[in-house]
Amino acid sequence: MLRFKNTNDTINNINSFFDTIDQALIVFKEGTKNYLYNHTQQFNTNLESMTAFENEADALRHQIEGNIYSLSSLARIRGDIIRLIENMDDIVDILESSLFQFEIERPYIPAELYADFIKLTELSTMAVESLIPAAKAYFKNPEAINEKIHRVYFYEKETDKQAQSLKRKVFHDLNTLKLSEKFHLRYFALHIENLSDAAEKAADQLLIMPIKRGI
Amino acid sequence: MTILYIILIAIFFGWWMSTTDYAYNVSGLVSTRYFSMYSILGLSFLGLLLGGIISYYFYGSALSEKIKLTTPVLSLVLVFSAFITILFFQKISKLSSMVYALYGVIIGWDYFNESYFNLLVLFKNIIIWAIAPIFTSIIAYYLTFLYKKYILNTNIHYIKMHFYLKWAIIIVAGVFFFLWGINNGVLLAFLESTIKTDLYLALDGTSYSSLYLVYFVSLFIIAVVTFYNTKRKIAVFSENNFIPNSETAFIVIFSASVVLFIFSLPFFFIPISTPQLIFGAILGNAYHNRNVEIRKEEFAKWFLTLIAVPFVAIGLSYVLLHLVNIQFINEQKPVLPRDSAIQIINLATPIVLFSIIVLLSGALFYIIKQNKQKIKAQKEALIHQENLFNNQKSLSVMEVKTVLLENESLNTKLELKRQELTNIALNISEQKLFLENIHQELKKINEVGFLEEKNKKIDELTKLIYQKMSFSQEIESFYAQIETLHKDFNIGLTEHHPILTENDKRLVTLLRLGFSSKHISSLTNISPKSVEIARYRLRTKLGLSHDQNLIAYLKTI
Repeated sequence: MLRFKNTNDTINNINSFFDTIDQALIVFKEGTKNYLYNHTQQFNTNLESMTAFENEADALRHQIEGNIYSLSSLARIRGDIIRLIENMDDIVDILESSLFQFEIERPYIPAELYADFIKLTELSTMAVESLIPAAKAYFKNPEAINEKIHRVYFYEKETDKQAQSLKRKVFHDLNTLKLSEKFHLRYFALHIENLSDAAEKAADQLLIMPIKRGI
Repeated sequence: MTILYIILIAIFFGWWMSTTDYAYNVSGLVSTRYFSMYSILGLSFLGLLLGGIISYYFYGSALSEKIKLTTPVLSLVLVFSAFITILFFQKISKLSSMVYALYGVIIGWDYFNESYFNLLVLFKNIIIWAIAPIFTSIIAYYLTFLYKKYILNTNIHYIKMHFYLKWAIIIVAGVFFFLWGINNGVLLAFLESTIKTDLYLALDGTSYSSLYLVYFVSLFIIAVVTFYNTKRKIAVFSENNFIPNSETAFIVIFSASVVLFIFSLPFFFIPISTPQLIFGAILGNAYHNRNVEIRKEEFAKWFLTLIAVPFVAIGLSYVLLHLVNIQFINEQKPVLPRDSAIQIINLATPIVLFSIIVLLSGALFYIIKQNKQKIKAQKEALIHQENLFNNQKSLSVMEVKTVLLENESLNTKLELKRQELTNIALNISEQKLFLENIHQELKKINEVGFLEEKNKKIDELTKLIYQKMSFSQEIESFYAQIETLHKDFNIGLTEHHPILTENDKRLVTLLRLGFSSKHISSLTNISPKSVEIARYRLRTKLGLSHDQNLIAYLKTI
């Protein structure tokens, strides 16, 4: 049963894809902390891991897309699944590019902002972490999506608030910083904020998908 | 004649299949995208053929013996009656089925032939026709309930479930088409006695072989003739059939198959309208999800067609059969004695045939005309959209032009401001230089010992200061700027009053800007009295009466 094997492969690839995103999130969190506390060695290791995860996610996405297009049983739902996978893959891309931005631009972050940046990263990654079980639920238990997905929206809003507070602090309280440094910090806050925005985008799509499944 | 019969049957089934019956039945399956248009045609063709043959073997032969049809003309009259009935009732409800009309014409023939009308049987059938979709709804409702309770809770992966669903749907669809062939194929029986193909295809050595051939050829012709029309209808229905996913499609087709199976069993056998079963199943499924609203008028229309279609078909077939000469229908009952000396040319049959052909052509013409009108309407809508687009485009171009003009005007103003700033800067530096010079000169005068020479130097300095006070250069520059800023006004003024001199125009400009006579006098280096005289002359040149305000008039230009 060649097709049945194909079906199982697709399922396994989707699960691996979600696991890769989960691991990439952990690496991103670690990487941000390592950059802030100037643990260069560990930060470089994080960068390497992130590149590996990004490559793996891309490879898995291509495999999933290829398999899904070859399975005629998924003709009606393949568009939705592929769009979801692509949205999730965008998250990995953001994770990788954000971490590399730290390495390339080496922004000057004052010590009083460490806690704010760590909180921002935590909240933003929590939004994505909440998205993964919701995405998994689509395939196994669509009725549970709604109760899982509201966490994504919650963390996305919290991320926005934290980002605003951080930016306010940068522009209002830290008068010792140059304007260019302030802009730079705002730019990095935006980068991390993008992560939760991407999670929200995927959540929006995920919210519609079970409606189509509902019979 | 064989070819004629095949064509007649093809027209009959072609109409049947190209009505909502066939499209409605397969649209749910097409919307799952497990089937292409060709595969669904192939599967349905195979199922209907097999089912039809079995149906005829078990039920059809008995029915054809009972109804005793003898001539092709008779079959044609009955088919034509059903055709017209459905053509009319489909305008009322899309769910009016050919099955009801065919059943009606058979009763109509019975009544015409034996003057006996079993109303009770007809009512019993109508009740069953009404119950069947409701029964399907209930099955679909509970299937949905069971699916949600047991299948979804197993947490089977969605992709794996789709794999199973695909094969389940293919199998159930095959069974559905087979049962459809068994249940509805019996209606072919009333054409049996008129179908004598003269072609004997010894499939099994029985006399039914010729019928199989006709059935096969008819279905093939149907598939070819009605392909494009049916394809269009299937595409329309598959987009709007309330079957959102493969699970629903499975439940719908499975429920309809169960009911079709029950009513195809020997004891319960009755031809059922399959689209109504499908519709009932969709309703049952939707009702479970509480996302359906049944409109009363639509329900009333469906119920009206359910009752009215067989009765209208009975009436119409009865009337049409009367129009045809009995002698040509039933050769056993001659109207005139055979030994009659009068030779009668019976025109009834040709007239009926001619009427049928005319009406069929009319229907065809009507459909073509409607299609043309649709295309025309679409073209008009397209032209309208194009016009709208062009208008929007020209509006956008105008907006862009306006913005460009505004930009140009703003640029001019900006340029003027720049010039002004430059002039101010130059002026300041010039004034500074001038004051420094005066300062130096005054120092020199202080150092001069002789009074005469001192007075001479003071006179020179006074002259220099007086010259500077004339500001001639600045004033020229001021006028130039004013002219640029009020270009339109200057053009209008020259057009209205070409006799005005340059000095008059300058005075007009200053008055329009709201300068008082005192200010004008200092700017023009003339006395206030001279300004008043100049104003009086200007009023004369402009042709203003005493009660007209000069400045108010100037602002209207």
